[in-house]
Amino acid sequence: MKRSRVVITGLGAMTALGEGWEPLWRACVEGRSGIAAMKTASLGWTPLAGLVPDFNPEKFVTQRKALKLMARDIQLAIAGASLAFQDAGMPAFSFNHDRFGVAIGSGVLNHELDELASSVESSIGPDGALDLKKFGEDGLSALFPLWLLKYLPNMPACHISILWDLEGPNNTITTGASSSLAAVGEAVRVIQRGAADIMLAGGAESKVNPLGLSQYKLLGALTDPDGVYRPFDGAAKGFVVGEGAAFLVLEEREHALKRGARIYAEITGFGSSSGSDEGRKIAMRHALEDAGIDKNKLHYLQASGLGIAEEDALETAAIQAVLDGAGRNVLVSASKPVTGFTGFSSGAMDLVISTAALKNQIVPPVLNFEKAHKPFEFQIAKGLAQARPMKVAMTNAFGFQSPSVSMITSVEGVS
Amino acid sequence: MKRVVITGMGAVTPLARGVAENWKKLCEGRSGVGRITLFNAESFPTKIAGEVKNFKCEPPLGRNSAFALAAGEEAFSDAGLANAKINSARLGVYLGAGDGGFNFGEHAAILLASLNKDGIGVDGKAYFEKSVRQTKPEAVIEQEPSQVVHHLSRRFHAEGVISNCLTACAASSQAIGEAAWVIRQGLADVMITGGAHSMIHPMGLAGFNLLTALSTRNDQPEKASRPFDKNRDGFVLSEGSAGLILEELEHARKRGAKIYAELAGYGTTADAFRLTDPHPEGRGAVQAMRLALEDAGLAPDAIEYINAHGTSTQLNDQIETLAVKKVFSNAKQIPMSSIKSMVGHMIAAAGAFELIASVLTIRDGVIPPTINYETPDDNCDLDYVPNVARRQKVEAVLSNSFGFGGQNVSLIVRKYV
Repeated sequence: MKRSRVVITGLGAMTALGEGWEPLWRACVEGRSGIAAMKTASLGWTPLAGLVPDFNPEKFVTQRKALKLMARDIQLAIAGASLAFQDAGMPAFSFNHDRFGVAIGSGVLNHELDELASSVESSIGPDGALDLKKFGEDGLSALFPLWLLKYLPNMPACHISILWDLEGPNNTITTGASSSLAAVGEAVRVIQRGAADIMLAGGAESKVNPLGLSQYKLLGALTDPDGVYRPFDGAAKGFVVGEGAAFLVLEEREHALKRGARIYAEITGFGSSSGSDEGRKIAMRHALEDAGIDKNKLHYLQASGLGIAEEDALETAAIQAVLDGAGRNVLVSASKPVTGFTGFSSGAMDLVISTAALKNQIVPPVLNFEKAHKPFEFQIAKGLAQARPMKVAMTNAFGFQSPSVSMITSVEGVS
Repeated sequence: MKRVVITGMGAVTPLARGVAENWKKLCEGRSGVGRITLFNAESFPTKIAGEVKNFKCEPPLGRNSAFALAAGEEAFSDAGLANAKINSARLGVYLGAGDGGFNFGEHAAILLASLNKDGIGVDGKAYFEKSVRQTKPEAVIEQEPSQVVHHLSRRFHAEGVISNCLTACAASSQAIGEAAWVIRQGLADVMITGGAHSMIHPMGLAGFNLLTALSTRNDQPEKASRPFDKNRDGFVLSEGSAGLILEELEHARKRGAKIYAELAGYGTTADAFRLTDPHPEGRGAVQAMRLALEDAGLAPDAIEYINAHGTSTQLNDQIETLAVKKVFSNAKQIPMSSIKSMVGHMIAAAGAFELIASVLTIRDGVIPPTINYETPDDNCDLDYVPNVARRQKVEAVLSNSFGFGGQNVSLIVRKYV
């Protein structure tokens, strides 16, 4: 079956480094992190986090009424989408609204505790505990009436479709840590099969809140309060939570050429599999097969690099098994210490970074990496950013039992 | 392009466990709706739902995952895959599964213990510390909708394409359509697909009640879900799972699999209009149906039965009727029923179960009815197969699923020849 070629024509990011993909990329190259001690009054304490500084959602959503309906994750998604659209040259070009779709990586969006607390408080029974009977009577009326809509996983995609009138295929992928990279892959398939000309793909998450922090702590994922985020390092102890949004505008190649769009890279391969040890390898192999390239063609890999010792060990083993000797020529990087782990948005975030890396022919370093337990069978991007002539990149999104996703991008003969 | 057939099916619903028993009850026009027993809902505006009964589910496994494992097991063995030699890297799972396992009571208790001293708002640090002490890690991870595919991929050693989409009430139909494309594009031989969901918990019920989306016909649970009837007053929340095995035609033939039907068409669009209301002209729904027809290479008059989304809300049923009339010039001659009248609305899992009913309609030549249809509505003037099943030969069915946020999916199944 003949398939259409898919190119990346827009990048957008909201991160601890600020607005847009450029500040993120600069930080990656310069080895700077946006992680800092939080000064959020509502938290009552100041853990390390990668919070978007001075995020002003009103800049991106002009209707105040609509803003009330959106969890912070959704607000970040709209900001990230706006930036990607701007970067792609919208609204200067016209497009067919039926053939412009959206695929977003999402999942359970955390509610604001204060919002539920007042409702729960008005539902205390005689024994001091929650009384469901009182909750049904008094608790409900104390809740925000559109509570459900504020947190439904598909709402980022729906708000975006409404704001820009995008009536094409609209999907929300919920595969945990790999969600947004999987969403990019799904969007690629949609264009390949001819069901859309343009797709916005990516994701957003904000779990920099007591609920999110406690969940990651329970999963054993958080580094010590004063710890350093250091993927692949022998002393890696976990991650620091970040928040953010990462979006890409994907376009059928002819469509992009016809309107004279700037083309960053082509997405040539996508593989997904289970979250098992074997699944990580299969996802990478299927991505290579899908791109129709040999592993020897690969020169750079943007790893998932969660910074959790067990996860990093599994990814290392998978990379070594798949590259099998060819790894000596592959430079592996991981950039999550720059933004903190941004959850649903992290996979697309890494793709934004690897796309910028391909475009600029520079591989950013793994921040804070000093020494591994045992030598890798690949090169690790240690120290300073490295200029490197490269045509093809692989980007991985693994972890937390989520389905494994791997993507191949190329700058060979795209424009 | 490769062709896709359905070779296995499984279901766990408020009506029954197992496809055979479910189908029997659908054809008899039975309701699976009753008073809520999973928690005390006596003071909620809505006190009724379609619960899966007599089903053992041990935490931390969520009800969504437990249902999915049961339905998946049935579909897998129904397809004869349990003993078949299949390449696990070419066996995938693509579900439209919802989130699960949210323990509201536990969460509320931690919140209450973490209130600020002045009683206004939550002390974040106190919440963090209490939550870390009292919550089980397994319970946290089980909430993520991705866990359902995780359990299924492990259970069936599926290492091919794995994904999960959650597009509200259209999710499992969308998953089926996307899973079909995975096979059409040659990326897998066999896909386990469908959906699973349970929102019958205090926050789920509260959320839908606050949106005034649910029926409050509490004194007549079995009469509450009444799609297209003039006196409908909202949908009935239910839960369950439906699983289907999609297979590449040649792969199925080579192993001599039983073929139920062909999955022939898939169309998906966004209304891009409002979060809760459908577009007043049914814009996205019309386009989804047209795309599905085009994808199947069928003219509108080839469709002999429409399995409606038919939620029993005022707006959905009216707009769906309008949209169907726009696509089908012969709409009044096409029987269109909603099995949500019997099983309620399984949210993310609804569409997959409706596709199973559509497949069995083709196999048996029986159209399941829309029960509780008593008073005609001027705005709903199609043939809804009122109250009693109808014997009629059917070779092509269109099944609609729409969701909050303006998600539209149409699927077409046809007799395999």
